[in-house]
Amino acid sequence: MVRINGDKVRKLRESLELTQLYLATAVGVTTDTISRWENRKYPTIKKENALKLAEALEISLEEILEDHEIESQDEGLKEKQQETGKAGESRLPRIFTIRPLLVLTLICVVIISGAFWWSFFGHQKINITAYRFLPPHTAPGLPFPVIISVETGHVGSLSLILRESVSQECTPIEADPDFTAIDEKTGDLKWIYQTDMQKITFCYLATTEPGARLEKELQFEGTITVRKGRSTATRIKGPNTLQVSPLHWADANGDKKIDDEEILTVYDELGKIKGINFGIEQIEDIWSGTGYRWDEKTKKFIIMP
Amino acid sequence: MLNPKTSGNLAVFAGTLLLAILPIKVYAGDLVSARYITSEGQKIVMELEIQSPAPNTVIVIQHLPKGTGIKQSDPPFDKYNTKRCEAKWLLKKVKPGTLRISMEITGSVKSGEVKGEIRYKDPLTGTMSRIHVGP
Repeated sequence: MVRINGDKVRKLRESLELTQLYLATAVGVTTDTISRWENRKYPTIKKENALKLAEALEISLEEILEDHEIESQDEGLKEKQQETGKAGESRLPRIFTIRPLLVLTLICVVIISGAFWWSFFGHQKINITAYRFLPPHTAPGLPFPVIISVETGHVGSLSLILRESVSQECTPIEADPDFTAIDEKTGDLKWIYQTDMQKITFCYLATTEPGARLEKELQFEGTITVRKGRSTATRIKGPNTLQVSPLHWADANGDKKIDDEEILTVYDELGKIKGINFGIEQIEDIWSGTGYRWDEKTKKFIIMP
Repeated sequence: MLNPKTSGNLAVFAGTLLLAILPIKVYAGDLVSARYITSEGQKIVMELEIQSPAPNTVIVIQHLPKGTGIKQSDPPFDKYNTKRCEAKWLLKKVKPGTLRISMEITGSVKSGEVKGEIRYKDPLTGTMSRIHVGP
């Protein structure tokens, strides 16, 4: 556990134009937690969360840790205030003692007006869209690709968080760009990504368990959050179900062949992805042959010449 | 009678109206076109013209008369179906420009006996295109 400087976190977040939702998503906590950390002077938090927080704020961990000097100065100030006691209270302007309700009301009005202004004019809205290309089926124990195509519609630099929740029967293997984090408990995949491109393609390779039951449907869900603008998490559109079946993922129509249209789709969608081995040699072999069949014993495809 | 100025204005107005109400069909040519340079005897040469934006991958299919095979080809074919006498090339990382496929066949063919087909997906729309190639 470490003690962080809540004030500093808030100031840094505001200077970077980050929202509490963005930080919450980056760290993997709720916005209430972020709010609590910022509102307490020196909250104690898990070191793991502090590291993620520092990463999202683009600084080192040390920079958000409790500052002993400031704390000791503050404590000295507190002691002084305690010494002065009632004398200090008597020095308060008269208005604070006579009409506290009026002052409180005025403060509330200013805060609410500010919040309204910020919500309507303070942010530039970014219409981000994300679409998932998911094969309709995959064979047990064999890898399959998932592509998430993101369009920011924004000119200039942008930071985004892509979060993908994969079925627990799936194991992610590799990704391009590489995963920023994989949640140990939930298995959720996360990318924190900075770009000045209007179109970004995220691709990952995952595999099902070799013993996965045939016809089982696996669910995928994800969101994308942008650092600028109104930070609402946008759901990733497109297919979100994949069935475990004795079919190759590239055989979209399930006729146990890979036809011309299917191989062209594979090359068009995955040709630009580098560094991921999604089994193109086997796909070409099936395309060159007359078809394939699934061998349950060896858990492999047998290609018919 | 209308004076020349009025009739000129009317013509401009009518033209504008016509343009506004008629659906304008913009013809976009095929991204890939092909023709045979040679299609007789023992040597067949097909030339492909690739436009921009080029499809990432193109499939070329060469149909041959029954009983005919391919001795050799440049580039080498990727698939040959002996029943259909059909050879296929899978051309990857295609770039705009000209591509040639030449093949030497067993036996001899007459003009009009060979035909080909080009298959690709439009990189912008993802729609599948099939172009027939004749001698």
